[in-house]
Amino acid sequence: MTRASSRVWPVVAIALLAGCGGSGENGDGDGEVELAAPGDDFLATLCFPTGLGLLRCEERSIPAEDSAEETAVVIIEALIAGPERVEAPDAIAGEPDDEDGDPTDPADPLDDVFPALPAGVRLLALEVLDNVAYVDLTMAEVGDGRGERAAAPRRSALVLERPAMGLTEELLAVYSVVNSLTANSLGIDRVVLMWNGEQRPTFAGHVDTTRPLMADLERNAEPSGGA
Amino acid sequence: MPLRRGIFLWARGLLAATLTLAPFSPAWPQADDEPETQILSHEDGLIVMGRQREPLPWARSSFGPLVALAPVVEVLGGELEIGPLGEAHTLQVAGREVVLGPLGRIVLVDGEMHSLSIRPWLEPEPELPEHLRPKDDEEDDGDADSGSPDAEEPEPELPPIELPPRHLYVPVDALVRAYPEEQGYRFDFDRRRGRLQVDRIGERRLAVEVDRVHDLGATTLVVTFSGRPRYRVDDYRGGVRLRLLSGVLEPRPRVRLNDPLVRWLEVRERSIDIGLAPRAEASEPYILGRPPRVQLVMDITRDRMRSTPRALSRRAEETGEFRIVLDPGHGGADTGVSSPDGVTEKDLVLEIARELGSHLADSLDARVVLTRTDDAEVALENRTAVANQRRADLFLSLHVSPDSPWAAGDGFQTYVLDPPPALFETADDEEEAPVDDDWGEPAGEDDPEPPEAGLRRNEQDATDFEEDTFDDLGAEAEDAQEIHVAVPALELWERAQDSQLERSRLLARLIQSHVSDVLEQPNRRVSRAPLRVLTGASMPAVLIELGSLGGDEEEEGTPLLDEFHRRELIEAIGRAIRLYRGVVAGAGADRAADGAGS
Repeated sequence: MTRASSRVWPVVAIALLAGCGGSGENGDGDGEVELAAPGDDFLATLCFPTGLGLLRCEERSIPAEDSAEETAVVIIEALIAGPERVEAPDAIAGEPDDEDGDPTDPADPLDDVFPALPAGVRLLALEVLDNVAYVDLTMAEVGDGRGERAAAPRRSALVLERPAMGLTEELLAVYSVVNSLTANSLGIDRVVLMWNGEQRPTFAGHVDTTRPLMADLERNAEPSGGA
Repeated sequence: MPLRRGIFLWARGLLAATLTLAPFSPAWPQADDEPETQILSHEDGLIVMGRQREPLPWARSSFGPLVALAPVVEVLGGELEIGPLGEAHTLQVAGREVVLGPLGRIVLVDGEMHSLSIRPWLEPEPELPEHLRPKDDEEDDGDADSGSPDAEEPEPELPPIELPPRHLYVPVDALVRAYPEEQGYRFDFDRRRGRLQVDRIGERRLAVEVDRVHDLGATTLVVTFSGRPRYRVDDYRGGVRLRLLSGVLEPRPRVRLNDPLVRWLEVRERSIDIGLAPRAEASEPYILGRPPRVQLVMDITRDRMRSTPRALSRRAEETGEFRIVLDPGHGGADTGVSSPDGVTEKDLVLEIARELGSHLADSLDARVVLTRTDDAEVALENRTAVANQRRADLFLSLHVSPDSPWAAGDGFQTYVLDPPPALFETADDEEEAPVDDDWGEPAGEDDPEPPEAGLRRNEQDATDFEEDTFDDLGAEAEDAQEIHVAVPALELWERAQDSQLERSRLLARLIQSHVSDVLEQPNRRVSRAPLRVLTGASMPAVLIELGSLGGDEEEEGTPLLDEFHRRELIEAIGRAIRLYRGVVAGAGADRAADGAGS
């Protein structure tokens, strides 16, 4: 079990216990979510940033976990780990939603697919309540350690305890997570993004994270079909 | 706060009337809509709080456990009033009024209606022999038929029998509504042992930050809480006191402020005290946002009618100035992104903002204000506050992108706000927000449409602009009451940009196309995103990513550091704004759309 998922376990256990309590004292429950049986594979939709400022969603087989929350943890960790392999351009159906995108171009920047979040970002905890996923992230190495993703050193994270990102990059990171979590029939409709246990006004200086975010499928280069 | 109070009174009256009249009214909806709560058994339980243990009658119902309300109130505090028919129960606790009764699966908390998991149940009157029934000779005129001639007979040796009040049994979630976590209580009912465990989790601690902007003779205080505060405003020693009705703050020593209207500020455990300069007046505060970032905004002016932001802005309007607020992104410890050479976004955009401001002032005869003129850290909300106070015609937030592979090329890109969805979800908040006084409503103050106008925002045409200016807004003191009716005083700060989106898109398209022309790059679509810095702007607002901090294709360095490139960029933006101004001044939106080349 991963560190993140082990942290989430108590939360999951509490949530399950609360769910079993059942008589309605605690308000409305989530809709029932049917997951693949534990141990089976689960065909998850993962959306990664591309070089064209869009997301490219791919399907990947991941082991099914016992609960939606645990499966969501696996999805986030897969997004952080990055795409498995760049596929052939013919995997991209349809025309990208941008006037200068040319899907026939062999050097299409959609072929450049990147991890959803900057190197050093880790999942601290994840909880699903009332169809809202609360994704708590942290920076393992604050201030540097951008790894291969960024050639430029960017340091303002020292204060913010989160990576400094340009707006395009930030939007891609945010909707990588949101579009992926909402595309997999996990009973997740909206996503709250947090850093170090706190919901901040913005994710990394621009994108408003004061409220739960819904999927934005227009950011996908091809329909993910799940949300 | 007439409207909120009106809603509250209306709701309270509705429930009270319903509860009172329900026995006589066949139209009471519960009979048809809700299955009857069947009581399966009565049990003797306990309410346990710390070392305190008190008896607690409870009942197993067909839908779950119900606990007697009165013993809980005895332990937790509050005043419980029972209506004349014994139906409506009104609980006053910590400044809240909670009304509930056996005839509906609802509870009213300060006039706000919430549903309950189980309909409360009122235990029936005990069966007493006729001669022991209490006299019914008081104000209860609803049971006139119960009076008995026998009651006229004096029976001095028998004390009057007072029946104990019938218990109202409520579901645990009703207790949660009455004594929420923010009051420091947490409930857990163990139906196997019949124990209601009440944990004191301590009073809710609210983190608080105070920001201040002084501009155009007015000071705006923005007090940011981590949760929704319950407060009232009192006069206090030459100032005002924001007194918290629940929750506690982390006290901070009094600080003296270098502000012409606010002398000092002190955060105490249960209040925020604000010392005002002589003749300074504080407006009724209004609430913006929602947890975990709730902002209480208070405008302070020296003379209410002469120097409010609106009055000052109207004065500026009379001069015909075209006002542009430029917002150099980031600042202070927030450097934004950086280049490998150590060029930071905060420095670069400040430099460009100065150049752009100078160009716009010269070429458009515009009055340009920068949200920061040095390396200061300015909260995003305060950036739009500057634009709103100035009643700017445009708000442009300037940013650059990093040298990253997914930055969509080295592109110049304009963004407009992707507003938060589901206007209806905010309806509660809109009702909760205190109605402001006669001049200082939230940021969207120049929008005469009612809050629901946001639903029509996509239909709004740029040609509506003249109508939207609402010339008489706040013009005269005697108009104040009419303004209350006509203006969306409850408009949330978060919706301030809604009515401006069409014009924001128009401006963004014009800027995008003009700059793309000079940079010889494809004319991209205007992007939309949930951008915090644009959220509260009550004028057309665009975020501009001016380009990348990376090198160009020929690796000749960062174009944005090249003076010639910057000059072209700035002039193109200036031409776009000039065209925009011409369009909204009367040429019509159609021509604008053509000019945008989209």
